[in-house]
Amino acid sequence: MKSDLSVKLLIDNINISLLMLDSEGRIIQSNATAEKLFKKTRIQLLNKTMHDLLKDFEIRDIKEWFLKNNNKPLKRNALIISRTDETGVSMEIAPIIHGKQYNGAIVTCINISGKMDLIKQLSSTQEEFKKRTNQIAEERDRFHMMIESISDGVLLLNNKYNIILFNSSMRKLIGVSAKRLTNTPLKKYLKEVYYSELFRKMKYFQSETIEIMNQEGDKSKKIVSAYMAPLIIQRGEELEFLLTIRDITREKQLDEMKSQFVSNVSHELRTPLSSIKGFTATLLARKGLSGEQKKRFLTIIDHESDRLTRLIEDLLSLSRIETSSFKLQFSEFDLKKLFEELKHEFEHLLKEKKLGILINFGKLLPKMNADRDKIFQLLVNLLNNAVKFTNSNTDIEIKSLFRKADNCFVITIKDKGPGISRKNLEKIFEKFFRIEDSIHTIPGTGLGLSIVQGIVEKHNGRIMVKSQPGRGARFIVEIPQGMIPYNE
Amino acid sequence: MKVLVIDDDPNITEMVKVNLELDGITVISASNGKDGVELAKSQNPDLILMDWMLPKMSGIDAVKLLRGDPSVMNIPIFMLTARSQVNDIDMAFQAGADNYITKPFNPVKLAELLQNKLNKINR
Repeated sequence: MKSDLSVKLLIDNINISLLMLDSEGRIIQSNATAEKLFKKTRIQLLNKTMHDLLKDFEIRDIKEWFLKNNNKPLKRNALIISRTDETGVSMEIAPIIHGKQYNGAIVTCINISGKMDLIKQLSSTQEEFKKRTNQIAEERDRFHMMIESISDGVLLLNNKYNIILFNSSMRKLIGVSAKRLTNTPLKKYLKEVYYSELFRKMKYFQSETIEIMNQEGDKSKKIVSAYMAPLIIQRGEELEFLLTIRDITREKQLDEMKSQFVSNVSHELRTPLSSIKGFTATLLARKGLSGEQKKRFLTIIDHESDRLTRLIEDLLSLSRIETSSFKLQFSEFDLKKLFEELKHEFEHLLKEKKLGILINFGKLLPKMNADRDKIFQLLVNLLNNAVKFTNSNTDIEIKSLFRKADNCFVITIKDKGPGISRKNLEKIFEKFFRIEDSIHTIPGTGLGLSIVQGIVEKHNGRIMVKSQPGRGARFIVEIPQGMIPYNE
Repeated sequence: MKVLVIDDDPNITEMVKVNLELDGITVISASNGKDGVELAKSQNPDLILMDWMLPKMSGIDAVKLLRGDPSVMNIPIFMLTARSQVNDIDMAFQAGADNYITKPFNPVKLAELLQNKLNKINR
């Protein structure tokens, strides 16, 4: 008895709300604290469900949960609930299960109203934290995407030159397909010679040109421009190195080509000048020359001066056409009339060399829309070549037709000369290229076809040459109509 | 005195020939590197004037070949070329050339220069 009373006293005076639920989830027992918390009398509490009781309370999921479980909690659960009057409660629900039988539950509630602020702060801090974490993740993703999108290679190394970070451009440059590059030494992916060159030449905050080689794949050599910046992080405790590497192989090649061109031009100009200078000096200083010699030398000077003039004119032509700002002057003209002019211009030369010219047109040749002067120049250059490289008593054929399928003019110039060897075919459009045997026997600047190609390209067209040694040569030019010229 | 001119430009060959012959120097010529080397070996000239850009074998390669052949290795070789970069001059001397003359040049003065050189050799 005494112990029963003590238990009752204990239960009534404890500062924890206690509720006992039956197997249907209805309240069968409550203590004084519970009555105070829920603001109900013992009688009012009796037979009520938790669902009924918690109608005033916030934190919706508890109600849902109760409803879902049909007021019969089967697991121990702890929840924090609050009421609009700032009452905060920490509630624990423990089921009473004997064997397999559900006999009800015990609900314990502790009033944590004083701590509601803290709880609110915690949950808002949690919200903040989640938001901030998402923001940081977003920023990091954006940063990552930026680095990945940069066409230059980006590489971050630690103070031991191990890779911390890299982008796909970097990987492509070095040509490594290894999955895990991070934390491995950079040394592993660059040949020793290139690695030591990289660090020997690198100075902080400066670009250096270095040669590297693709590790895998085509093992091509690349020239790159590398820039290194040291990064001092973590309050001066750690040193990292950021490298950006740009592939400048193409630029270097173009540079080299330009340089080669200048060198070639210089050589080409000096050749006729050497003759002019040499024979002039000879004529001026030498007394023992025959009349015939004097005449011959003066003729050579005359011819070489002409040659020099043609060379300079061709160089200017080529230079103009190849300038990106050069614009074609378009007009509509009759191709047939153009060919008539061409024939007239070459009449004398053809007669001299005993060559015939056959001009053939496709049916219904429409007017051509192109730069008339440049097309004329193109035809002159091609015909010139045909005349120069053809045997006497043959015919040169010029054909022209309009291909409806792709709105294209097709002009073919065919000769019955010695033809062009495969080796030479590859090179004939190169500037200053001359067929070796013809260098001193056939006049020419080596620029004619370069000029033709330049004109064709400006018109967005194509030029092809078909030839076999002994079987003459055929030059086919395609000029499309109705396309926007490439420089507008 | 015999001078071998190796140049594929017939104008150059002619102007050198005319000027040297007026000074009593015999001139033989070849128009490519390969023929030039052969002619040097068979004719043993006292001096060789060598162009650089030649068909079949370049002037530089011809110089190297000649320097490697004991029968002709001591013949003085003067380069006679339009190439004028410092690199070119370096390469020529490395290959074994004795002098480097750039085009355009004065063949009258060249004849004088060769006269002096050949006289020195004879002494």
